[in-house]
Amino acid sequence: MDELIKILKSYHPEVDYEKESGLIDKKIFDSFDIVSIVGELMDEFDIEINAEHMVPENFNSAKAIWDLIVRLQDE
Amino acid sequence: MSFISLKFAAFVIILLIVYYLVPKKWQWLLLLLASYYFYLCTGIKNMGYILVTTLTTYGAAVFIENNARVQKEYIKANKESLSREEKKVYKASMKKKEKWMLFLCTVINIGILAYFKYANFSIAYLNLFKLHVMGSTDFIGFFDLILPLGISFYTFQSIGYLVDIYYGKYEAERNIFKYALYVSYFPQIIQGPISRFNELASELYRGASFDIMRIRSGFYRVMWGLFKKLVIADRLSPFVQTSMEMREEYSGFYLILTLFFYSMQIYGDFSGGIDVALGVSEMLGIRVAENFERPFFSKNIAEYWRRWHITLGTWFRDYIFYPLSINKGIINLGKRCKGLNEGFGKRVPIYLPMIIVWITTGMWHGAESKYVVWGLLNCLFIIIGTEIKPGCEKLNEKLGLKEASLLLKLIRVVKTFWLMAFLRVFDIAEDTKAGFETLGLVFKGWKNFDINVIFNELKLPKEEFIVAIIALIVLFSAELLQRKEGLRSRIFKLPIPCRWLILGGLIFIVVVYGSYGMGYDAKQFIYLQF
Amino acid sequence: MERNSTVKRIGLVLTEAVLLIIFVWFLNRLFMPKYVSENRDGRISREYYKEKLDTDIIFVGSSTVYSGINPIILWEDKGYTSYDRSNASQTMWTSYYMIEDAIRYNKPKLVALDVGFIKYDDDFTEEPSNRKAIDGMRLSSSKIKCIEAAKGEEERLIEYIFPVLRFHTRWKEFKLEDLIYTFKDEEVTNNGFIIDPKRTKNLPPRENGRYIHGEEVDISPKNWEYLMKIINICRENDVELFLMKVPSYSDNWSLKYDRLIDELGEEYGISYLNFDELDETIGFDYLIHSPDEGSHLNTEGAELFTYYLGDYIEENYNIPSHRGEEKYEEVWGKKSRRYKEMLALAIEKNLEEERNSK
Repeated sequence: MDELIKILKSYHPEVDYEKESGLIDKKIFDSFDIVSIVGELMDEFDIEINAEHMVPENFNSAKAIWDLIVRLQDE
Repeated sequence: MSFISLKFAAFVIILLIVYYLVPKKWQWLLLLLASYYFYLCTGIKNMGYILVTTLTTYGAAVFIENNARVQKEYIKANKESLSREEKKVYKASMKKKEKWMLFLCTVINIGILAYFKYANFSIAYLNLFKLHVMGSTDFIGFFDLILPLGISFYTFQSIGYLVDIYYGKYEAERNIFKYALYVSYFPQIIQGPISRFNELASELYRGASFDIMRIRSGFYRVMWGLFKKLVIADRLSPFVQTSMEMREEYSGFYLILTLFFYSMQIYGDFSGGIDVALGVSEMLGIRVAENFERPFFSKNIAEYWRRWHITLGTWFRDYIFYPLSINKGIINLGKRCKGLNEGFGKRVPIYLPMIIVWITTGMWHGAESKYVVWGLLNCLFIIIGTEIKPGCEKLNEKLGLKEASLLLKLIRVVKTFWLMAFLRVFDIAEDTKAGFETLGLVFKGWKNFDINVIFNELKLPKEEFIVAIIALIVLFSAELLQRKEGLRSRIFKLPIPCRWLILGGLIFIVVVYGSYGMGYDAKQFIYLQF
Repeated sequence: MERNSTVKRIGLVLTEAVLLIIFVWFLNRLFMPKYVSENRDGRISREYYKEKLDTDIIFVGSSTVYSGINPIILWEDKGYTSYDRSNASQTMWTSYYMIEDAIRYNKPKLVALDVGFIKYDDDFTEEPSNRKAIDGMRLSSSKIKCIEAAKGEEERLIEYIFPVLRFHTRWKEFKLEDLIYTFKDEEVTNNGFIIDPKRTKNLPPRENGRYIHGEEVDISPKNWEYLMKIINICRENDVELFLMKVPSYSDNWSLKYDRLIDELGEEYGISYLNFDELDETIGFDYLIHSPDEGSHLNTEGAELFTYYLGDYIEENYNIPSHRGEEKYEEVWGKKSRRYKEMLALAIEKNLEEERNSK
C-alpha cells in the first residue's frame, strides 16, 4: 500500500490519498495520469491490467486501486 | 424531421401527452415506437442499417455473455477434477470464441459505417494514385451514398455496449425491444450524446411520473438551445460562408472575425442542438449524459477536449486510448525509450496511442484528409503543451504570475480559444491546402478593414451584426454565471414574476430574432400590380 | 394543507398558460404588418367583422372590386348596406371561403361575385396577397380550409395561425405605428372600398382587339370547382348570386369565359353580366376613370360604376333599403361623413403629389 501511495504522490502530491474517494469522478486524475500510473503499477507489482479493468470504480481511491492490485496478484 | 421544426415540436407535444397517460411500465415501449417513427421520417432506406446494427450487437452480446456463463459454470462444476493448466486452456479457448464474436460484429458495424463514410474518400485517393503513379485517367466512379442519419452515433453507442459486455462490465440486455430503444432513442440519434448502456438503460426503462417542474426545466433548456442555434449559429452562418468564399479579397481582420464567428456558430449549432435533445429528454424524465461543459473556458487543449463533445472523447478514451496505451507492446516500447529522456520516454506509451486516437477522431469528423490534418494538429498541440509545461511554469514563476491568479487563467483561456479557432479553419476550408492558405491570409490586408464591408458585402447587415454581438454577450454572461451553479436552478429560486419575465424574454428573443422563415420584404406587400 | 398546495400549484400553471396565450397574442399583433398608413387593402378582410348591422350585399372578387364598387355611394343612392370582401389577386377559392365565412358571420342577401380572376391558372398563388386576404379573417374552419387551398409551396399553415413566425423579421423596420395599432383598431377602409383619386397618364393602345385570348382558352379545373362550390353554397343558404365582370380596360380576357359562365348561369338560373360591354352606356373614359392605365377604376370611375350597378341591382334583386331606419341612418351617416373627409384628404394629397412630381 505504501508503495502505491508513493507512486500516486509522484503524480498528484497535493491529494490526501487516505481520504480521497473521487480520484476519477472529481477529475483529479486525467487519462494521462491513469495510463502512466497503470504502466508503473504493472511494472512495480508484476500484474497485468487489461482494458476490462479500466473502469472508474477501480481507480476512484487508493484503496480501490490497492484492491485491484491484490485481486490481480491472486490470479 | 429536424429538431428545429414545428413538426418536431408537434411530435414532442403529442408524445409527452401520451407518454404521461400510459402506465409507467409501458412508457419505454412508447418511446421505442416514437423513436422508430422519428427515424422512419428520415427515410425508410435508413431503417435497414439501424436494424442490422441493433440485431448484430444484441445477438453478439447475448452470445458472449452466454459463453462466459457456460465457461464459469463448467469451471465451477469441475473445480476439483481440472488442473490449473487445464482450466487455463479451457478458459482461453472459450475466450477465443468471444473474441471472434466481438471482432466479427465490430467489423460488420464499423464496416457499414466505413462504407458510407469512406468509400468515396478511398476512391478519390485511388483515382489520384492512378493519375499520378500509373498515369491513367481511367477513373473509378463514385458511389451515390447518403449517410444514414445518426449512423456514426448509434454505431459507436452499440459497439461501446458490446465491448463492455465482452469485458463483463455489466449484464447484457436480453429484451431485444428494450435494447432497440437504447440504440434508437430519438433525442440523441441525430447528433449524440453517445451514451453508455449502464448509464442510459435504467433511465430509459424506469418510467417517469408527470412532474411540471421537470417539464418547465426541460422547456427552458430547449429554448436556450434554440437561442444558441437560431439566434446565434444560423445568423452567423451566411457571413462565415460568404467571407470564406471572398477571403482573397477580404483577408486580415475579416478572417479573424470569420474564425471567431465560426467558433461561435459551430458551438451554437452543436451545443444548441444538444440542449434541445437533452431538454426534450428531461421532459420525458430521462437523464442523458452531458456533452458540453462550457468548453471555451478551458485553459488548455487537453482540457478543451474533455469539455467539448464529451461523450465522443470518453468513447475514444475508453475503447481506443486505454486498450492501446496499456497494451504490453506499447509499454515495452516505452521502456526502451526511457533511455532517451526521462520524462519524454515515460510519455511515449501515451503519445503513440494518442496519435492513433486523433487520426481516428479526425476521420470520424469527415472523410477528408483535412480532418486527419486537423486531428494531428490537435494532437501535436496537446503534446507540445505537455512537454513545455514545466518550462512554462518556471517562466511564470519568474514573471511573478501565480498558478491560481486570474490573469494567468485568462491568458490561458484566451490562448486556448484562439488556438482552437485557428484549427477550425480546416472545417470551413475546402481542403488541407486551402486551410493553410487561409491561415496565411489572416496576416494580409489588415489595413483595408472597413466595417461596412461586413454589413454590405459579407451578408451580415448592420442590424443582424448588432443582434449577433448582443446575443454573444448574453451567451457569454450566461456561461460565466453557470460557473458556480446551473442557470436553471438559479432561475427557479427567483420570485415567480421574475421567472416569467425571463422565460417571456427568452421566447421573445428566439421567436423574433431567430433566423428562420422566408424573411419579410416590405416592398412585396406594396400593391403594384394584380 | 396538502390540498391547498395542490390548488395553488394548479392555479399557478393555469395562470402561466393564460399569460402565455396573452403573450403569444401580443407577439402576433405586434409583428403583423399594420396596413394603416400604406397598403390599406390589407385591412379589408379584418374590418368586415366590425359590421354589426345587417350587410345585405357582399361584393366578392379581386382588386377590381375594392377599387371599383363603393358601398358608401350605394348607401347614399339606394339605402343598401354592403361590403367589398375583396383583396388583391383574390382567387376563386379564397373568394369561396370569404363567402362561406360571411354566410356564417352575417348572412348576406346577395353575393355579387367578380369572376375576373377566373382567368388565372390553378397554381396561381401570390404570398403577399394571400396574407392580406387571409390574415384578417377570423379563425374558423373556413379560414383553415382557405389557407390550405391558397397557400404556395413555401407557405405553411402554422405561419398563418401564428403570424409572428412569418413576420418576425419586421423588427428591423419597426415604426411607432406598429406599436400603436397593436392595441388600437382603427378603420381605414370604407366598407372595403379603397379610395384612389389618381388619374392615369396614358392608356396603352389595344393592338389585338378587345380581348387577347381567343377561343382556345378554357377555365381551369380548380377555378371551375370553386365557382361551382360558390353556386352551391349560395343555393343551399338561400342567398342570391350575381356573377359579373367588373369593368376594366385590360384586355386579359376571353370571350369563351363569357360563354362558359353564361351557359352555367342559365343552367342554374343565375345572371351573368360582363360590364365591359357597357363601357359606353355607363360612360367610361379610362383616361379619367382609371389610376393605372385602365387596370382598375379610380374613385371617380367607381362612383360612376356604383350608380349603374345600384340601378341594376334595384331592377333585378329584391334588396331592402334601410333608408329611414334610425340605427342604420346613424351608423351609415357616420360612414358617409367619414368617407367624405377621407376623400377630401386623399384628393389633396394626390394634388400635392402631382405638383411635386412636376
